[in-house]
Formats: sequence, structure tokens, C-alpha cells
Amino acid sequence: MIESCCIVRRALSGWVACLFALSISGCGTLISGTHERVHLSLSPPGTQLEVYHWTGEKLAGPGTSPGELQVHRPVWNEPYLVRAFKDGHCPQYWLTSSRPSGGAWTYLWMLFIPALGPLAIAATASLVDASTGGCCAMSPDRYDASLQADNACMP
Amino acid sequence: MHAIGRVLPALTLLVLFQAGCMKPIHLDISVPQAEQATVDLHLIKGDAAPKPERCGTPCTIEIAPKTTSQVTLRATGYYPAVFELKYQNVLEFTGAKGKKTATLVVPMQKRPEPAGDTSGVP
Repeated sequence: MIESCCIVRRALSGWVACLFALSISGCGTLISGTHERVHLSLSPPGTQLEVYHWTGEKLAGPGTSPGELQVHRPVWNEPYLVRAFKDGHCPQYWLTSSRPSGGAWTYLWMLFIPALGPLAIAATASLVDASTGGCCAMSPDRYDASLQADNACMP
Repeated sequence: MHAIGRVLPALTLLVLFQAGCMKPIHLDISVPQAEQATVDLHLIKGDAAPKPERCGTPCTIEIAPKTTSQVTLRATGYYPAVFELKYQNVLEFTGAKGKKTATLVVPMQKRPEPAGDTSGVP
């Protein structure tokens, strides 16, 4: 009788854990979305900014500064290459990294409450957001550099 | 106690996995344009310099853990491309793509043709 009670309790806690993991999967995507806004305040005004995958395909842009550019959030924490350019000026480049998005932070803390189960739930729940990019935001997401005049970058 | 008993081995495995990941990564660097570019790497943080420190595209560079290097690409007719390359960036790329070697294609900016160039005109 006691053994069957334990089995039922374990099965029940397993179901609760699965239900919890499923219910919070994609929270980051729902809250933050799959795209983010990158703020451009580059100087001189009129400087353009483009975002590339490391494999060479353009992801977003050109966006003109001052302004904003819509960029797909990094899927599986993919880093991007960012290029700012303007005629008569030296272009600038950045390699981005990923940080947790606002949506991801709101539910991540719940996953570490011991009563809610092991870290495996966290891994399951974050899979959806990692595959859509909802978990993450590119860093930096604000560009305020100043491009130098053409003669400053002679070979 | 039961939860700790499950979490501790998981954390230990995670730390060991991280330690195992901290090995040099190879990065294939190239430019989309037909012209060949020269790549110069200068270590700005960390102990081990990237290998090699100079090459012509396309080439493969070995990036050591916990390092940051300044990369400069130069090609005739193009503005130089200068940026910081962190080991962590390369690790994120290989993790995202599920590959052992990372790929970085750098779109270089073409310089404008010199105005009023009459060379060759009689």
C-alpha cells in the first residue's frame, strides 16, 4: 500500500514538472518577441548600420542614424557582425554577443525554486526560447560611436 | 537533501563540461569580395596569441581560451576592417551552429573611386 502510494506520488510530481515545463516554455518569446530594436545614435548623422551573420548573409539593415533598426533576436545565442559606414568616413565593425532578454529573466528565477524540480525543467523550458531567439538579446544593442574621416584610415 | 543530491552532480558535470570546452577554437576568416585581404591579429587580452598572427584570406586562425584580439583586414581598394574578436564570441558561434570550426565572412567597404582621375586619357 505504501509502495503504491509512493509510485502515485512520483508519477504525479513527474506530471506536475512536465506541465510546468510546458506551461512556461516560450515565455521569453511571448514577452520579448522574436525581434528587437537596436538604437542608432552614430555620428555623423546619416551613418548607416548593417547586421550580418558570420557566414556573410545580411540579417538586417541598412538602418540610418539617428534612429532604430529591427533585428531578429539571436537564435541559439548566435553572435552577429555589425558594420557602420558612411561615404568619406572609416567604417566601424563590432562582433556581438548574447544576453538574456527581459522576457527570459521574468521566468528564469522560477526555475531555481527547489520545490519546482530539477534543473532539467529549466533546460526543457528554455529550448523553445533558444530556438526562436526569444531568450536572448544582442549585446551591444545601442550604437553611439563616431566614425572618423576618410584620411584617418589610410592603409 | 534529495534535491541537493541531484543538483550537485549536475553542477559538477557542468563545471567539468565547461573545463573541457576551454580549448583553442579554429576560425575560418574570409572576405566575400574576390580580392584577397591581409589579416593581422594583435593580442590585447590573455596569454596566448592567435596563430598565425598574419595571413591572407581565406585562412584559418587558432584562437586560445580567455583571449581577446584586435583583427585588422586590409585589401587594395577597400577601407580597413578593424574589430575586437573574443574567444567567447567564437565559442558562441560554434555552439549556435553545432560546428567545431567557426566561420567569419567580413564584408569590407569599398573606397570611392578617385574623382577626376584622368590617367590613361590622352
